[in-house]
Amino acid sequence: MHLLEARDIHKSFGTVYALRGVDFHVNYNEIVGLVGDNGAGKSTLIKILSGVFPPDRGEIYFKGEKIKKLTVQKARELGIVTVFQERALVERQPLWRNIFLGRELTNKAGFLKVSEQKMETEKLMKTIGYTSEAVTPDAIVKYMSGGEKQGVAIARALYFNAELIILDEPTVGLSLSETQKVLNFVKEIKQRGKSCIFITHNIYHVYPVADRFVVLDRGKCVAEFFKEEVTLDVLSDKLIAIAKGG
Amino acid sequence: MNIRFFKKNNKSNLNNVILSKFKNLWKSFTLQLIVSLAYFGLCMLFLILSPSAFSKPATYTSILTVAPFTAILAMGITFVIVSGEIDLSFGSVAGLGAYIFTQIWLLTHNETLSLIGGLFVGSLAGALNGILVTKIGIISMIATLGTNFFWRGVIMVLTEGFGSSLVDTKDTFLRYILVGKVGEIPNQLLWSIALFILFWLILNRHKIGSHIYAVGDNIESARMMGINPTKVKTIAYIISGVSASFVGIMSTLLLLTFWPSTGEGYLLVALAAVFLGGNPPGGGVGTLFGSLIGSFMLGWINTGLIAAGATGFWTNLVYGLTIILSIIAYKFAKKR
Repeated sequence: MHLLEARDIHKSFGTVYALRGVDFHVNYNEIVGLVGDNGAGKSTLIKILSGVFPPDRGEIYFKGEKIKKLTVQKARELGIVTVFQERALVERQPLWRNIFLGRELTNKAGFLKVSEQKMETEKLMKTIGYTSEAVTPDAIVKYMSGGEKQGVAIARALYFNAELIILDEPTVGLSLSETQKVLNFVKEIKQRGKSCIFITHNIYHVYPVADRFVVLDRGKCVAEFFKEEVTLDVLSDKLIAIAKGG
Repeated sequence: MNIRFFKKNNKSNLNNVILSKFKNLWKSFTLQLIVSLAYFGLCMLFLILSPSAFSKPATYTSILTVAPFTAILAMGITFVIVSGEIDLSFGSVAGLGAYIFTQIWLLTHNETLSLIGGLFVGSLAGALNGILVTKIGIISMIATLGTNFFWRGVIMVLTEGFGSSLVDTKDTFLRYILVGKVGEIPNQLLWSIALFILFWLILNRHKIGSHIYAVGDNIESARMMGINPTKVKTIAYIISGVSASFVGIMSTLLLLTFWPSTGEGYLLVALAAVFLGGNPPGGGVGTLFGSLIGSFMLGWINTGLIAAGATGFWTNLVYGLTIILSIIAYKFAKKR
């Protein structure tokens, strides 16, 4: 049984077919690299798996159970959390508010348990390796680096016990050292026994952390490789060949 | 040698920690500190310019009688501004609240019912603004400019431009509670302080306040995290509407007369107080403390200029200058 399985997913926008019968799955405690060129259908697929919009046709199963009408709220309740490119952070607010955004710890009257939230934020930051004095619970997110912001978004997902974290192009626009930080966060997801879909068009970023690679091309899953089977160079050659239509 | 080195090192670490604490404090409270310093400077300036006027308690009573009205309005609007919108209708909503209060009073002579009626209509007017902005999608400046004219028009049509006397409220408990005095302290000042505490708790320590900041900061991020911007912005408008009608009721009780123009003069002054308090119009940031102090600063300027012998014509000029200078100072401090 897979953690998540999508069967025969179709989606079109007007006359444009974004997905044409995609079969895709993620196993327990597995990092899947979802790769493909721009326009391959990666974003459409993850938006369907996150409940942002429904498929035209196809079925989604989570822990073996068929999910009817998957919404963002329902996905979150199931433990599917997506960290979009925009990271869903409110950057002029402090870190502790961002970690608990939309899921604040409150008393019955709705008043925030501020010290508890700050304490939990501090603990969480330490567990993901943020020991810098600049990254305190009161730090304003705007002043953090791109990698640190991505870390905050991933940490937030981990804190709320996400079973499956979907990362949408998490390394776009980041420097080498920042990218390395993000890759460490992805490893942390695996170490915690959770699963992850890492969407990227940069194979060099996803190769070191993924267990399996699924290649999307023009709305279809065209190839699947296990890490043991391919070296980075071989995988890179295969992707180039797929992009050229080979 | 080693001991000396450790002592020196520890001292230097301690200095760094203190310096870093100060830096954090400055970063977190830049706005409040600048506004407070500006207010303090202004008080000193008027004390020097007009020591005789500012040594009389009557001057302070005058400021503290009127400025709390501006402060309550400004604090209400702060919720809307932090949520990333603007409210230009609160002056007319103040008039509407006062009108409904007066009508219920004239019909029933029931203080509680009149107060609830006045506040309720303020909340409805706020909710209407929220619906126009969030559900129908009208730009808040245009939507609330429209409702500002609409509510004033409703009042004018219903009253045909005539006021109503509320002399018989003079000895009521409600009037005493809202605009009476404890010793020499006007109760409206105490209300403005009590509301500041309540509003501060809502904006800074309640889930709703957290969502207001989030929606004003980045509406899409807030939405992705399951926050409903329509609900949040409507709540902000309701708070502004209730605050406005509360001020309308208080000012009517203070004057013992309902005038169809009630609330008209507050529009620019209350907005000026919000911006003077360092609250930027873009949303996501802003403090109630700034709005509160901004209101009292404007009260000081108004009274201070007259006490210092300037004509009323100078008031707007100095208002404008103070707002621009304070915003420049705020920008400069933020850059540093």
